[in-house]
Amino acid sequence: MNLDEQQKKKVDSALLDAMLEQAYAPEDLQAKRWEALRDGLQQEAASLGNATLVKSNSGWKARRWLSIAAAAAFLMVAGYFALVPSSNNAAYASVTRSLEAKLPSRHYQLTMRYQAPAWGIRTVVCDLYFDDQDRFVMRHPGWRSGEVWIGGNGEERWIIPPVGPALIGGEALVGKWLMRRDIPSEFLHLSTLLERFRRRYRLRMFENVLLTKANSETVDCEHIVGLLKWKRLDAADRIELWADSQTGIAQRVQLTWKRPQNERGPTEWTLELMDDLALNDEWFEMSGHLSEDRPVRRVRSETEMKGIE
Amino acid sequence: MTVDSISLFEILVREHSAMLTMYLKAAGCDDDLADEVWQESMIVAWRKLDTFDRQLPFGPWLRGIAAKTLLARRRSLSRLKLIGDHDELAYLSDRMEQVALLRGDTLDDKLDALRDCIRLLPEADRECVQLRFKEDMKPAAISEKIGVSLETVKKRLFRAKARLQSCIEGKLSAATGLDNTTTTASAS
Repeated sequence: MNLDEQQKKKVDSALLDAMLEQAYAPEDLQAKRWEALRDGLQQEAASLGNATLVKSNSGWKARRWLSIAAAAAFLMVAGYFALVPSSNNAAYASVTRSLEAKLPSRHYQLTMRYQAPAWGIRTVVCDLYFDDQDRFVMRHPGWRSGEVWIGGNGEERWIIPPVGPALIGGEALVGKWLMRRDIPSEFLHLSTLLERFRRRYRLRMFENVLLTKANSETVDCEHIVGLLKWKRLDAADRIELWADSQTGIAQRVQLTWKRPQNERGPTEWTLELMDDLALNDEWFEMSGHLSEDRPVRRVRSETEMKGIE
Repeated sequence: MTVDSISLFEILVREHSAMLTMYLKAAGCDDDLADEVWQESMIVAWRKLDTFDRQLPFGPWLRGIAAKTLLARRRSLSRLKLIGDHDELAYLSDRMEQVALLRGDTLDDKLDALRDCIRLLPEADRECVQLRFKEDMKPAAISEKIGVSLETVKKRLFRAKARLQSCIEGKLSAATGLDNTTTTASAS
């Protein structure tokens, strides 16, 4: 190992930062991580037909139900893989092609289905616009008082609520607004969503399908299904991608959560390509959606974000 | 895999989980990536458990697996400021092994040594360190919160970290029974 003093200082400084972070806010995720790992090991054992893992009776939370879960997982995985006509390498390549496929701008419709014991199922439909420079605009119908427009470029984010001043600030501004509505911010960047799909899911490719779109047109699509490799907080259990077999453009992405009926949260979200009309630069700027007399408030810190609904 | 090896693995995961997380954070991973690499490393460790020499410490072996995972992913992770190369990760792993020798059963216990060092900081510096690492505030936000210039905040943080580095070096050297020169040489 040949490191000069400068390199050692850099590493020592990074270690000190990590120690300070841990000393002040010790992570309480270790037990959760083990549970997720155990699920992953079970899946692997099941797919190999190796059920020895479930005999463990030691450690943190080994349970008798593991044997039942492993048997169920084995049946599920075996059934799932029996339908697989081609390799996961082809699926990986297809998602990669979809990630790299660019259009100057495109319009998707996002249909979000939530459930809650108090009100059953609720469906919210948003419009999302992306361009090839990582800019986005989202139209959200709002919960009570009217629609909200959100947008951003590589540097700034903005929100135009139905009433009050428009807000402009950093990523945290929009992140916080979305978090309160149970919307993961990766939906604002399709590339992030697909990148996570590629990395975190066991991908399998199915036969091409003729996808019928909202305007009744049909598109020949590659169909990729991914199962979450290991349990992650709020991550969808299953994602399906339908990508244009000619261009690789994502035509439809569907996320599904397995959730008990009495649990609140998202159940099924679908992102559907509506059109690829060329949108001008102004569309991706706040000014394109704002009347001239509307006041604009710049939000610089977390303190200033308090009270923003 | 036998039941014994599974039991051993659960114990090993429990003992080394927090240290591995800290290693990944020090290597430049954000929370999300640390979580992913932690999972991948543990899965690989599980698969290779039969090849692990039980006479040797588990921590460096596990960090070796994590380093390979990180290096394999580096090309697609250019957005993160990851610790550079194999040698730097190996040096970091050696330094972690010294942290493991600090007094205490768990990582949290061992970090009491650092907490002692923090207590020795002048109050103004300690406040900046606390806001930076406990509240996860950026220097600009700290400057706004405590009403001093950004430059002053940066100076306080720089000074505090230098003091903490020196203080913790003393404790690590005491724990390993080596002076600083010997420590550095052995890690090279």
